Amino acid sequence: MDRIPIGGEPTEPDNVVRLPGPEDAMEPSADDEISYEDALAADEEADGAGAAPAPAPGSQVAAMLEQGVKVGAGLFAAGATALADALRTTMPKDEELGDAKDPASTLAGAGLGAAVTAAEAAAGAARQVADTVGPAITWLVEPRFAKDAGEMAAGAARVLDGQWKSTQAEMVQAATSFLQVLVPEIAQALADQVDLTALVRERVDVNAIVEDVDIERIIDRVDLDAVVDRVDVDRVADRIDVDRVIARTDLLSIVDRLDVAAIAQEVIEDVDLPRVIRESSGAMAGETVRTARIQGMHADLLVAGIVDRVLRREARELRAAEDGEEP
Amino acid sequence: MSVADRPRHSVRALPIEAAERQGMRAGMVSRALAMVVDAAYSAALVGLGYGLWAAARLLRKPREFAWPQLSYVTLVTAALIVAAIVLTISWAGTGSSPGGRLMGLRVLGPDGSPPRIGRSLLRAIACVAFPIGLFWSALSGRNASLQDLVFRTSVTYDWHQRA
Repeated sequence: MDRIPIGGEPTEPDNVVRLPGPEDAMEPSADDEISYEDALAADEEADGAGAAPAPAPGSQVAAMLEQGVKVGAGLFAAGATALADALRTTMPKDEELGDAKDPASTLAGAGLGAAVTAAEAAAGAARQVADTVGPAITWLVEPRFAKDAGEMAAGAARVLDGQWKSTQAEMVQAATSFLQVLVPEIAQALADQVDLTALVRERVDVNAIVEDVDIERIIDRVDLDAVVDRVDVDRVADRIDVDRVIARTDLLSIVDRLDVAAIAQEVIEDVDLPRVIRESSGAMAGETVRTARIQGMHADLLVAGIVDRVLRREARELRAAEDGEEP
Repeated sequence: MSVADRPRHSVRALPIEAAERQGMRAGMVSRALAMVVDAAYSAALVGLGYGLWAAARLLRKPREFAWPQLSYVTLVTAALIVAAIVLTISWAGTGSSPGGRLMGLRVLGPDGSPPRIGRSLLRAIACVAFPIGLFWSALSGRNASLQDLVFRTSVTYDWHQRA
């Protein structure tokens, strides 16, 4: 492993997780993957040659920590990718950039790479805190680092970006599986906490939605005949209070709308009026006969009434029997 | 449906007072008035007969003409006979004598139709011979005269009579 010693530090421990930035900073044209592989190799070497393996509890904590960071990085990746895409679309000179490194993507990747490194660092942190802190501080205070800070930062970003890319799939996978478990539970918990009915009632303008509904189209799709067939019309009719309906009906207005004169005309046309006239007026010798008959009837009643009262008789049997007279 | 196609309804004009009594047994007053009319009618016929007889005598022997001398009994008897004949024919025919027509009365037999000729003749004789029997109809619970009781007839209101 060609590790360039930082500054004049001769005794750097092999198991230190190192940020590969400074090496790459010296060779800006170097391939990202190679640098990353180098970094990985260094890590493997560091892990494999780990002088002080962590105890079991520490390993578990470290694994959980690493997984947590991975998930976090995965979540961040989704956001970062979206952010990068957004930035890219808003950048005015896409063509001019050509095949040059996409700064937005690189920056996002760098952040993620840092997160990956942080995860890996966290994994080893449980057993390597002491070993890590010292050299890192040493490395940070190295004057050369300060001198070449710009170049080192650019190189480090590129290396971190490459590191991120190689682990991107794994992290996204971790985040996805995490979310697959988490999201339904969150949704369930939210649903338990929120009164959706009240929420809808408060927030949603149901009337506006109903106004958008094409009721005609729904009605077109309903077989109303079949619906009517299922209705027991007799039962419905039994429940109707006809008297009440009639009480609410303005019969006089109906009568007003009838053409009584036309109806009367029709009745008169139906009746054999000439015959009626013949029988009523022409047949009789005028009003005298009519008066004589009616006066006779009244006199009949009067006499009968007097006689009946004298004889204390209730009433007379005046209906003529058709089947014979009692003697 | 034209007017011509419609069924003709038989509507008869009837005063309200008459409508409620139509077909009922007639009372004494109406029948007495009818009897008076019949008597007058018969007397008129007798008078007409007397006039015709006198005219015939005048035409046959103008120089010897003198009004026929008839006793009161003869005239009354003639009138009663004429009345009996008129009543018999009227009752057996339509059930209505001239007075009955005027007053809107009709004589019905036991079967509800006008009496036959025999019953009509006997009733007519009875009425002419004993007209006072009519006044029993004022006392009868069924407005029946003595003649009605004897011959099982009844007299009803029938407005649709040609006077």
